[in-house]
Amino acid sequence: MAKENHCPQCGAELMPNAPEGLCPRCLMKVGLEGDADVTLESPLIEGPGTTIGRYKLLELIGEGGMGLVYLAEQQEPIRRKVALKIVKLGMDTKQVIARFEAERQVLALLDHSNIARVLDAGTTETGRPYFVMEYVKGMSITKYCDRHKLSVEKRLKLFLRVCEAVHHAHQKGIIHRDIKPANILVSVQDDRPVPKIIDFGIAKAVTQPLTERTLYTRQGQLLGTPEYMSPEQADMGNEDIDTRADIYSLGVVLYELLAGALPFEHEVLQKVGFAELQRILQEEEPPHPSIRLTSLGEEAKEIAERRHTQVLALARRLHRELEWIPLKAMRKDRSRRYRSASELADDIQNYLSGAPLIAGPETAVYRVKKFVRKHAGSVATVALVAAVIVLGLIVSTVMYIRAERMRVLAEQAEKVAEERGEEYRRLSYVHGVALADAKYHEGNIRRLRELLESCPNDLRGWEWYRLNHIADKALMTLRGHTDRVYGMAISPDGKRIASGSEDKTIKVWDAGTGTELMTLHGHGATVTSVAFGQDGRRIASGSGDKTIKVWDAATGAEVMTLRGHESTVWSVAFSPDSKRIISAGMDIKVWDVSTGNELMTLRGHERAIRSVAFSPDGKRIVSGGWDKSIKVWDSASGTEVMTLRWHESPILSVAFSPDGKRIVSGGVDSTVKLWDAATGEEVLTLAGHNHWVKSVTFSPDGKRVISGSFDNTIKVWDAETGAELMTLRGHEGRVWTVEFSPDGKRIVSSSEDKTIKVWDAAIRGDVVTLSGHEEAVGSIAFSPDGKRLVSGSEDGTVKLWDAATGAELMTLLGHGEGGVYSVAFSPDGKRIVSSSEDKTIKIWDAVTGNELMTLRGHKEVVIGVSFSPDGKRIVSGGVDSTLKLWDAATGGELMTLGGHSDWIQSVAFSPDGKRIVSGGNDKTIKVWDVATGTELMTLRGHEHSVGSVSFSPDGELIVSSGWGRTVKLWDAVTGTELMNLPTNSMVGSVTFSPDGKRIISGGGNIMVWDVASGRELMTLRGHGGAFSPVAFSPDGKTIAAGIYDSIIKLWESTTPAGGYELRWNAEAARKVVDELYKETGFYSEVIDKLNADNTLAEPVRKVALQIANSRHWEDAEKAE
Amino acid sequence: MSDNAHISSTPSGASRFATTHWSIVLAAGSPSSSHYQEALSTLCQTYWFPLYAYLRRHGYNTHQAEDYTQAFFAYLLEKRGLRVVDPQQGKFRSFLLATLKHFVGDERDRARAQKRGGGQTILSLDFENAENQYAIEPAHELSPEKLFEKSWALTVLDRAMAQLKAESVSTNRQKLFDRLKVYLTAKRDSIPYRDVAAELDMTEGAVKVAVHRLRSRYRELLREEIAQTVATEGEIEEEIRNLFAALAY
Repeated sequence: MAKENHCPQCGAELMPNAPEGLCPRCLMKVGLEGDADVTLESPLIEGPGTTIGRYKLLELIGEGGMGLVYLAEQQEPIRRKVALKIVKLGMDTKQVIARFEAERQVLALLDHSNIARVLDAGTTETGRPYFVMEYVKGMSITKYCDRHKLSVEKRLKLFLRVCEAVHHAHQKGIIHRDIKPANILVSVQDDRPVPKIIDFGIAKAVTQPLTERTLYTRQGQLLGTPEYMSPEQADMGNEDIDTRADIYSLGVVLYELLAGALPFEHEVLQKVGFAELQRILQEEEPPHPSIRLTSLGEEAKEIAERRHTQVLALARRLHRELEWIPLKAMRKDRSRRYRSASELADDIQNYLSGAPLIAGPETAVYRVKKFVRKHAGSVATVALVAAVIVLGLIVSTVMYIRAERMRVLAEQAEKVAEERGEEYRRLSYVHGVALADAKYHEGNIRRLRELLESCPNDLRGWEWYRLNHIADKALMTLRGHTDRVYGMAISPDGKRIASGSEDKTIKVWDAGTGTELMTLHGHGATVTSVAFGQDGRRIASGSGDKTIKVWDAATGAEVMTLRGHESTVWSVAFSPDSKRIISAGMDIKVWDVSTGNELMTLRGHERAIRSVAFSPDGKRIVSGGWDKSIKVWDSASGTEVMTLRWHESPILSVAFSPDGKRIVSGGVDSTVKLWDAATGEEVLTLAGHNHWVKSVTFSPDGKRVISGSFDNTIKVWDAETGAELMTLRGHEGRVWTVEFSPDGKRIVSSSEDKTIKVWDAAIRGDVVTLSGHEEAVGSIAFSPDGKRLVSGSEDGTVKLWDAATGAELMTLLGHGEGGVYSVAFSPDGKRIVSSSEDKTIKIWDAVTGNELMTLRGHKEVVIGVSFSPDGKRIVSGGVDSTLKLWDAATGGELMTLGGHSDWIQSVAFSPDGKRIVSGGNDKTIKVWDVATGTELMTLRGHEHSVGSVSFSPDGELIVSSGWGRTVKLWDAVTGTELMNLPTNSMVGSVTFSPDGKRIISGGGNIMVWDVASGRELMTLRGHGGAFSPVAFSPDGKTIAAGIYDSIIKLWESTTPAGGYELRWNAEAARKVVDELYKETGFYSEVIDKLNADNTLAEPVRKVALQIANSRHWEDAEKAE
Repeated sequence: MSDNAHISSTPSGASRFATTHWSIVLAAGSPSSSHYQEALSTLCQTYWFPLYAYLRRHGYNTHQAEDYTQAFFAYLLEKRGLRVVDPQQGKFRSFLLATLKHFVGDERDRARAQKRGGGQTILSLDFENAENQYAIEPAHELSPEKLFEKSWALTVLDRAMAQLKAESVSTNRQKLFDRLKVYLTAKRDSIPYRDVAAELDMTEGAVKVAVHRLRSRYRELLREEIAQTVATEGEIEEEIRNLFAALAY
């Protein structure tokens, strides 16, 4: 019923703003249709409720690379539920349907209880092909097996039926082409799992030739899952696909069912480009499942558990022979795979019945033959070598490989590496780094280390040192214990560290040098906990042998043994006056240190107590345990004062704040909690750890809390706000105890990785942020000595920064409102040059910040500017399309070079000072002779404006970046384009590392490239603009980049010069300034306040004053 | 325009896109080039209402929404524009919304743009009418994003229809247009050609042809309008589907 204000076509209500009174929806739809009549029955976008042919869509049940799958109801001739798959847009409907029709009759022959029938196909009214299939209510085979924790046998039996079904189809001449877990659904019928393969016959119909275009989205995201694809399918344009492609895919599924992981790391396949993806699929041998499993670390445990077994047992079992089955199915050379799915099934049956397998390790003869054949000039040598290298790389860390096999592999690798090696070595390096980067983000430091260590020394560059640096920023690692280190304590004078270990010993270390001073033997079991007396004379230790021992801290002599606990002693502590010891096991005991007498036992906890501590005044005791409660006791009487209830989580660690007003606790629920010690109220919950929090304590000034966790990390928290300040990574095992040094400057931690680590407590995050500019940073440069950084911004200012601390040093004003597009230091570091929107170039004294001179001559905005290597000349270029050469001493204009037909964006001198390179909006790069001013050559190839150009340090290469998402390398002598490095975003800036071995490009992403191979080594995360100036520090250790939209970030590969404390101070200073400014609104007042404030630490005040002075000028502008 | 308006060809693929506003913006090397400024201004002038509606639904009052719309354009059209426009961002609509969100989220950007713009009028926009339009939308349900999309779709349709009408008027066929426009969305067999023919004193065949032409021309205009805001021919179809979906709310 179409009412006046409703669309007569679709019935929608018409608003007063309907164009010409017509229904907007119907009008929009007209735009889609050809000249055919407008039909209104079918909505444009199918969804639940829509009817397609005989089917009514009920709900969306799946979404894949190919399209959407709906649960639908067939109306006639019979009513039943079916699965209806609508192929996504972009495929040629006619072709898909034609291909399907061609197979239709054959598909009708498929009649197998483990294959879902394809019932129908057609075209929706919007022109998309759809398929109708038997509806299978189930989950993917991998998910099913994991969820039901099926053992290896049960998995194999289930998989057998899959093989048989595939074989049935193969016998009818039907290849699946897309076998993967998502296409093998398991449903439960009569309490038994029934696998069903779906999509048979569909993959072929919708298969498109594999190309970069079909495999990736426009944003470069990989579509679908290439992990199960056979090498021959990955070969572009290979039409010759037979049943053996399915055997390969079955092999991968079996691999995953057994090892719990895919042969190739998903994140690597996701990251690499198309060509690399193809190469991996076609050339890299998959690691053996047993090796793959054991390389997974913690995850392997869960995988084994989901198979009802342990890691070692599973790995051994796979290694013994089972793993040869998936490996044989997955051979790159398809003639070496199982000949049929039934042969694969037979071999699984062989395994289950204990008969000899068809599959087995390749014989030495075969390997050598293959090696020789491939090595004899075949291009495919890459395959073996890469495989050998990659395998070797993984193998070297794992124990399950036979020495003999290793030796053969190693020899082969070595031989090939010698002869054709360089490229392959680089390749494996690039891989190693990519994987290590991924492992860092996963927090798997152990694996990261292994990967880093396997990288050849001579190939290691910035990216390697960067990973190495952020993987472990500990100042010292104390090694000596032969087993896990649990308890740990620092002497009151901060000079020594005592540690207790599973190896039953206590070790005393020099806290300054890390030297092992002595080893105390005596306990009969694990040492769980150690403590220093406040007078530093005694060490107490608690142990699994149920005793507490007291030791002379100076000599290491055992003074006495305290017996009385009936179970493991988990925690010991001295009273502040050093006269008493408390210990915790099933109950808490208080002992007299001089006599060794048990003074009292505190009972009240219902289960084991894990942690006990005195209040700073010694009057109270706090304890926490497995019964999920924290109790506070009167230490004189032993009476319970208070119980703090922690919902549902056993307590692992408790401690008082230095002022005794608060209690901190850590527990099994992975959180840290702060409590009011007087009222027992919960004050804060600090969440962030991913595993049990085993140890917590306050900093000596009470301002921070640290926590050590079974997630292998230590976190530093603000005790006031609860903010997470820092995460310390580096331990390769669970962290058991964390302590602050008495001066608060160090953090010490003990771990199951058998080590103790000492950290700078002022340690900061992985990336340093310099903020102070108000608008986009257009250019940055390091001073020649690397100590300072200069930046020019669109806010019209030039700022100088301390590169070690990140503190703002001064602001150079003079360009007014005109944005500063380029800045550079003179080679002697004494002057700074800047170019600006105000059409001038200015030279500044780099020490005083005084403006020395202004160069006028350009008719328009000056974009690029640079000093000659001898510091005598300056070159500039910009919107007026000309280059100008200036005398840097007098400011006189020497020469004007015309030739570019549009804006010049970037200029640079060659290292010998004889040439200039320039690039800009006319898409060309020009090289000029400095002496004569003649144009030497023009490099063409960029399809968009050239944003940045520079010479390599040896002057032989030129690197350029274009706004068309590419970086190009050129021969600086001949002008030949050597390499084109595609990026996934605009590149505004590009430069060489000081050693010329790396390039960094700044744009949507900041990327580090290997010059020799042209491969991307690392992408630096954490930013998001289209244009980003980049710079390498002169020592090659730090990368700086201007980040959208007004900050600068530094990525370091070593501990900063001057340590973390200076940086901590600088950050604190900036915070103080920002807060005071917010309060007062004027920097002059900030300065006054800073001068008057005597609560601030002097170093912080000093830096704060410097920052406030640098920003002082803003007052004047504000006053205007 | 001659009688065979409906076969007036549209420029084919590449060349057509060389001249659409959004492709000009994307191709411009520098923000100060006059082409860039002109093309971006034209787009902004056309599509400001969805932005205004977005801001209103976001909770800003009429004055704030007006100020921010102007300040946002100042921000876009200034030199900073180039750094903001990333060819990766695809359609103009997506770009505009993403940039606006960033702009709204960034207090400093906003303050700075307002300082620079100094409350000056960058484009002449009819805010009074905008508020009336905004008031039509039911004050519930739609998120700012959805409202943005819907307003966008309506703007596109308005533009196409206005153009269609203008062409009819300029060829003295306004009466015909007024009578036939209702059939733009109608099923062909539901059109009472005979009655209309009698009413207009035309033959039935002539009415059929006129309806067909009107519809073809309208389709062309709609696609041209959308073409101004996307980078490639292929995106037009996709955009129509998106806008269609946006109109469902």
